[in-house]
Amino acid sequence: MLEPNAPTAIGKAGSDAKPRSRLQRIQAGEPVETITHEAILAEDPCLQIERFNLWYGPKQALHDNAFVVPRGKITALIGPSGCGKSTLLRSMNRLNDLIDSVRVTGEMRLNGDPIYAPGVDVIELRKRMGMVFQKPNPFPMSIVENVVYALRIDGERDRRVLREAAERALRGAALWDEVKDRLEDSALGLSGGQQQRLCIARAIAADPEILLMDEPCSAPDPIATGRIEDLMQDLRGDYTIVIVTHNMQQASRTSDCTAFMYLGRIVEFGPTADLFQKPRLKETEDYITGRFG
Amino acid sequence: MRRRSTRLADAAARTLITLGGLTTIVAVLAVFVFLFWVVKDLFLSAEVGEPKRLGTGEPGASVLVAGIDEYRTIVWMLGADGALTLRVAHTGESLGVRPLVVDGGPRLTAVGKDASSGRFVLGYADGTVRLCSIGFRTEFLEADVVDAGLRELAVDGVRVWGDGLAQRTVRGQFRVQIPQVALDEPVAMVAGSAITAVARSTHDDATVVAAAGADGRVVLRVATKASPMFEEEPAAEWGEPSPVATGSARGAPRFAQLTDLGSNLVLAWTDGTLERWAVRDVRAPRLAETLDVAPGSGVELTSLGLLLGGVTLISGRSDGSVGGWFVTANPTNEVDGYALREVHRFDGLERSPVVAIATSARERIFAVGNAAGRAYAMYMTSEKRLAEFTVRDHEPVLAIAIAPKSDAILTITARGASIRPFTPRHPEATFGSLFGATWYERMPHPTHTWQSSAGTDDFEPKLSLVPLIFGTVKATVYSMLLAVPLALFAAIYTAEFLHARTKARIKPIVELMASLPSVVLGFLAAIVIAPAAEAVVPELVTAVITVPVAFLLGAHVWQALPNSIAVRRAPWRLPLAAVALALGIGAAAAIGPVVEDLLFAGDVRLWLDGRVPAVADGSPGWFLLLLPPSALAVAWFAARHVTPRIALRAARSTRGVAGLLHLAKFAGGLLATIGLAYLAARIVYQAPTILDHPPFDLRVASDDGGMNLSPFGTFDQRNSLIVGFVMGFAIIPIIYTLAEDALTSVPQHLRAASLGCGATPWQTAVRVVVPTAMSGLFSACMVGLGRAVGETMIVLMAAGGTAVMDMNLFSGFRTLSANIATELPEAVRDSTHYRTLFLAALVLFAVTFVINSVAEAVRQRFRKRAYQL
Repeated sequence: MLEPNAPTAIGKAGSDAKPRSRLQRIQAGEPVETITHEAILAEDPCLQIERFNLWYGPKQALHDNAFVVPRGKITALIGPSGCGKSTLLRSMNRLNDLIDSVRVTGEMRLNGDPIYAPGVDVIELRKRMGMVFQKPNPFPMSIVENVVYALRIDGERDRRVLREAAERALRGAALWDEVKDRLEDSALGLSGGQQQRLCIARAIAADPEILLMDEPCSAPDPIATGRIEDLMQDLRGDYTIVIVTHNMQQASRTSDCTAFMYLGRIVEFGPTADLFQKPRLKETEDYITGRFG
Repeated sequence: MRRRSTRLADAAARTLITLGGLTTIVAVLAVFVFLFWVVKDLFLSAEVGEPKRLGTGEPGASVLVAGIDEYRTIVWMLGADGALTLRVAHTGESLGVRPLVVDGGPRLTAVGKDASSGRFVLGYADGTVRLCSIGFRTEFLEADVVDAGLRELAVDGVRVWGDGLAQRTVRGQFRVQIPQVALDEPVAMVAGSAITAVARSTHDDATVVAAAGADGRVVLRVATKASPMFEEEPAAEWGEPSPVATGSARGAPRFAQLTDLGSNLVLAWTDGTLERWAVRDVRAPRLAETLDVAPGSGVELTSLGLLLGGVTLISGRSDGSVGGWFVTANPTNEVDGYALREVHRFDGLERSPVVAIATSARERIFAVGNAAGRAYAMYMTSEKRLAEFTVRDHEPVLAIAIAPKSDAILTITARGASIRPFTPRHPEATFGSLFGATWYERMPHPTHTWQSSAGTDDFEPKLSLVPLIFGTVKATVYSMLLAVPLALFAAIYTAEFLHARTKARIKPIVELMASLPSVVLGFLAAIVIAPAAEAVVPELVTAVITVPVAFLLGAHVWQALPNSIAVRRAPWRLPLAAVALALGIGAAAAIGPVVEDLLFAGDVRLWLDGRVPAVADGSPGWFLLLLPPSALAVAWFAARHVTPRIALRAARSTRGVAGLLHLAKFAGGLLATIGLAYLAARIVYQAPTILDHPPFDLRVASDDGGMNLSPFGTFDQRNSLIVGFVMGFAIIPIIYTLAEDALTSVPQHLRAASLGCGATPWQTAVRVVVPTAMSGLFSACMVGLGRAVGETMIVLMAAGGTAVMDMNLFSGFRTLSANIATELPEAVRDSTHYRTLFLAALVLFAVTFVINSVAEAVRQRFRKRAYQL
């Protein structure tokens, strides 16, 4: 894959495109409006983002983003490496707060509640969201304790409640049949794909309003990837899901809506079918057909 | 295809690394082997060699006492005829006979020996005694006086030279041993009656002599000047005789000994009756007790000796058994508060009357010989049998002697004398005396005691390593008690909560603490901190409670702040924590005196000592001890039953209200803790009184000679509190650095996962980061433990150095390491003391080795659990 800001990439992209293409304007740092398909605006928004900017120290990583996550749908964020997909995703549950130099402006709302207003209790906010990471990261504890972690930290002590929540989440993550006989075993004994599904179970155990997935299928095992994709289809409707991926086949297979990001900006955002079949921008078409990126 | 230089570098690196690793292993093993090599001699058994005989026929059946010189060249025998016979040990050749009776004068009837100086007192048939010393003067011959006969001598070869005996030494010199016999003027004791038993005890300038006459009279007399060692010294001046009113019904005592610096006169009869007279005031002897030292029908007392030091009596009986007796404190004795008891007993010897006893002039070795010709050498304190042998033809042993350097045993039978080389090695160090309770002289019970040296040469070495091991444990426990929580909490705070920029500054500062030389810390502790702390004991005790309370209170107040302020002012938390610390210390200073008044009757040091009626109530100690468990119990109860209710209420109210509710919970919990601790303390303290026992007072030291685990007791300026604090200071940086590294190395994605689940940073730290880093935290603590165990300078300077066995927080101790550092420079090379110190080092080595092995094993277990992260 070519680096988007490497000189050769610019040269190639530039040679095919008209002078002053949208991408060139982005590279030049000019403000570029997001093309959002009307079908998206008709959806019931679960999470709304307006004029969102983010800086890592002096370097701006997200530019003036406007975005909505439709409720009950799977929304995919695609784009070349380093375009800000993961940063945007991590901004949604304020995990970027952990990085000292991060500074943000703009607004984000989860079901109408501000995410970045002063005085927001970040802990309470994160409890309303589930997150799945690129690398499976189960805690070094038993399978069942991993799943009920969110309930435990909320002070739940009733063994029966915990057990039921664990079973529900594991069934939801299609892992129950594989682990029901070894719930007390260490989660680290599971295979990579199982670990990732365990992380999904952990994320859905506390009934989050939105599920954030940061390249959850980057494991090289195609069977494991397939199972997680199947799982996402099962979860569709019950959960609002945002998934970051750089695998365009995956985005087209699994998601309802897709946003194409480039250099910290959302370039085009629309229903997946529309975006992949008839993109409104040539730049999007170039990216999804693999002509750059 | 690799290049030649790469291959060369590879090979060189491999060789160097292998060599380095092997060298390390070999070095550690070498240290172990060296320590072991020095120590192993401690446990070798004593040896007695083949006898050398000195002619036959002479000196006949009449020898009363015999001896041998320092170089084992001259043997002397004092016969009942009053003739002192000197003979060359190598050849049996006579060196002359010196009469110790006046021609035509009274016969020699009894001989007594002073246990510390080895000088004698002779008793005669006319009731007089004469002080006497038998010794040798050593001279080295000048080269010009040596004649050809001497020059031809082989090394160790001997030849009569003038009055003495010349010997060629290993270095080629000629050493002459000249017998020196001093005999004082006769002094009347029991005039007109033959003396049956006589004893002397010489200390400083005074010599007490006791003599018993055949008519049953017993008389004491004091000579106010030392008896002459050499002829030219002036004779002693004698005080008035003072009679001892022993009942004459038993007849004349057969044995007499003066023990305990001449303060006890022991008279014994053959039927086993023993009378102990308190004669500290020679003019007014009082009968302290009468006992039977040869119980059993038909058992008779056949000999009575006095061990080096003049404290332990050695009784030899007709059934072959030997006992060691000394006085111990016994309040039921109204005369002098002591009682003589048989502390050591040597059974299993041949059943034949013990007729001869010899004591060593260097250590507590003694030898006995019996009527069946069997002789034994034994060590009194450890009851170890060192050697045994049978004299030729099973002749009854008439006299036995141990050479001045304890390197030979002389036995005299009717058919002659024989000398056996003797190697006692290290009889005072047995496994039992090094690690078990040993009954030392004058102690009321067996104890674990370390006392390797004393002001006199005839002291009893006490070489129990247990107090030193105990001291090491005490130092370790108290310093770890302080260091582990502080260091771990600091590490967790730094790794999980501190801003990266602050952390970059704070961590090197803490690590700088580690670079302080421990001698400086020890010096500060002993000279600065200990005196300062002495003045603020109540404040210190109070601070232990107020500082954590201040922190918790601060945290609760913070929680009660409105969210907008709390979030925005978050960077101020660290400085505010410092304020909480200052407030806690300030509160301690303010209420310390109040606490002292309320709990310790106004004087904590007096209370700690606990011997004054005003501070009789011991329950405050329990109160302090039970505070932490009470706090835990209350916290557990609150978390279980109060917090969920507050959480329900808080869900319906603002952060501020919830914070106030928690604050109220905290205040209530604090009061509940104090109340619970107070109640529990009263109950525990008073519980034994139900059964009419004295109350359970932690300050009262147990008197059974074992260890005392109470943390309270008499206050010393250099105490465990100081050492705990300063040594804690020394090991905090190590634990802190390693723990912080372990926490930082927990993968970031685990933290992200936990935070993503909505956990607070604190929950993340406690539930995910700490369990994941557990192996590292454990190793950090173990490394700290290793340092605490081996730490020397701080304890050497600040711990006082008393080898006591109590956990009293306010008293000192002596550790293995400090003991080695103090005593090794002054220990005689290859002596028992020297080897015992090496054993202490070996124990220290083993302890550290075990700690590290356990640490590694546990660490591996933890690590296995946390693999593939």
